[in-house]
Amino acid sequence: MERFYEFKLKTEEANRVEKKLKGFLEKCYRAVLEGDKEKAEKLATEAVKSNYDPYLVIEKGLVRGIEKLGKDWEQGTCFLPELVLGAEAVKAGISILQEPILKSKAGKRNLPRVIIGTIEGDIHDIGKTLVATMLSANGFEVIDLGVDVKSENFVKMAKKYEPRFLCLSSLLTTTMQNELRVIEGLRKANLRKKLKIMVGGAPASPSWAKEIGADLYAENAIEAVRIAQKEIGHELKRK
Amino acid sequence: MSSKESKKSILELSRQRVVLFDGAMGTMLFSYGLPFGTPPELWNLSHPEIILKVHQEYIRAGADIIQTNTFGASSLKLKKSGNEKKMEKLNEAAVKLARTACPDGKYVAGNIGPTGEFLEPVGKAKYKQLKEAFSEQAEVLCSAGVDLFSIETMFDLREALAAVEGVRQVSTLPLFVCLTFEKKTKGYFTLMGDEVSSSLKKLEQAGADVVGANCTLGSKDMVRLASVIRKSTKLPIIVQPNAGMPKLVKGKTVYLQKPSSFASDVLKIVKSGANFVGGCCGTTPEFIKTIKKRITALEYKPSGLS
Repeated sequence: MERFYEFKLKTEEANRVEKKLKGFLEKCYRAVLEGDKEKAEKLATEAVKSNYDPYLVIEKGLVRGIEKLGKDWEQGTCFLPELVLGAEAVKAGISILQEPILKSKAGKRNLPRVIIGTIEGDIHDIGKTLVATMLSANGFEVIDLGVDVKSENFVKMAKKYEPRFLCLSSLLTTTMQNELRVIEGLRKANLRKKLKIMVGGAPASPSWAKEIGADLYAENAIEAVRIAQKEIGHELKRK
Repeated sequence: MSSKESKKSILELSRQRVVLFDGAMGTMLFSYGLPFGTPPELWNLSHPEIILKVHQEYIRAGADIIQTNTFGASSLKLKKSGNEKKMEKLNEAAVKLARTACPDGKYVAGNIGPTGEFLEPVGKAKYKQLKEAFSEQAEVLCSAGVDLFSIETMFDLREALAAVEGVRQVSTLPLFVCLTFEKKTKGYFTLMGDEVSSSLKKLEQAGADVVGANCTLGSKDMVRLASVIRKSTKLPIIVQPNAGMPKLVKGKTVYLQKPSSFASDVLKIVKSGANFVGGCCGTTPEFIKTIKKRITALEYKPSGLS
């Protein structure tokens, strides 16, 4: 009988902890929906102090929020500001939650790495930055080379950082031809097979990707994340 | 033309008949060999003969109003290509070219587009900063001799308001403002999520004389949006669709819509109450000419104005 009570107490305790954690994750989720970066940072700090599983907080709290916003954005019920601010909140939270993870793995990062930039001759920033933000909010390490990136520079950076993905953005139909030069450059440098090339931007299309020999095409930032995640399987999820 | 007279005449003209704006400038310049990545405004100084030619073609096609080649000529936008110091010269040259092409009885609109900066908190730009840049550009356009202002392709209501306030700081000329809307499941919204009706009201309160939409949508979608706009405001309205959606064919950008189908849609837009119409990306003098013909044929009775 005593044992039974002990067991019951333990379960109650476990239930209480679980309930508390659930409430906490819900708070993280809300902070992202509200685009509240400060709140996300506070919650992340609290999570580290309370020894909550950082992966759980990222996945079931923060990322769940940005996924919801992404879905709403695709359906046209939420807009760019909500999406950008939500992604900023996720990024801020993740960078705090990552600290203990990075320490425990001897500072070695093993997030899938992405290099992204707008093609040479094109200074359009919005779409590219949104893709970069969404990828990093979803657990990718993103190196954003900015706009008007020379083809040689894409190749140089790919050599240096060995990314899993190279994302090329274009909004102008004539400069998008430069994407072909990047791909040729990678081929010459023997890097082509080491990474996946994803193209995007208003004039790009699946047939364009095929034409220039890119691997992937994404219609928008949310799809870019989905496709990249699909490519790497479930590595991001906790093993 | 003094500012008062011009304000009276252009708005009055719109009570008598539909007033026709010109078509695209940027996509025309590409067809004349403007290299991609080069700000089109630089051609006001380096290729004035081509800018003049485009204006003249639009006048010949029947446009009542031609717009200066100054869409990206605010100092903030020019800064992105390192040309901010040329702000005054580029705007002055643009007005001079449009004036040269503009006969009596037609109008020159000083064209103003977005700075390319995002306002806080999404971006780093401050409202005051945008307002100052617009005001500074408007001042140059105004003293160089435009008849009216046409603010276009604004995807953020707040930036549009900064532009209206900026212009109003330096001029009382007729002020046209077009936001650019996307079609969403729940209606039409700007990229930043501004809804049609309340946005147009705020623009009116800030001092706009004519409000409406341009770019992003092709003429088919614009027909529906036009009636939403008409219901949203008592002001005269302006609508300028794109020539369908751009396609890449053999390495060249092509707008596949034909002038005749475009003009049919524009006619529907006029019937739903638009007072000013014109063309945005992909339209050419041929489009404007076709619209002119169709509008003249249509016995137009002004509607929607109180």
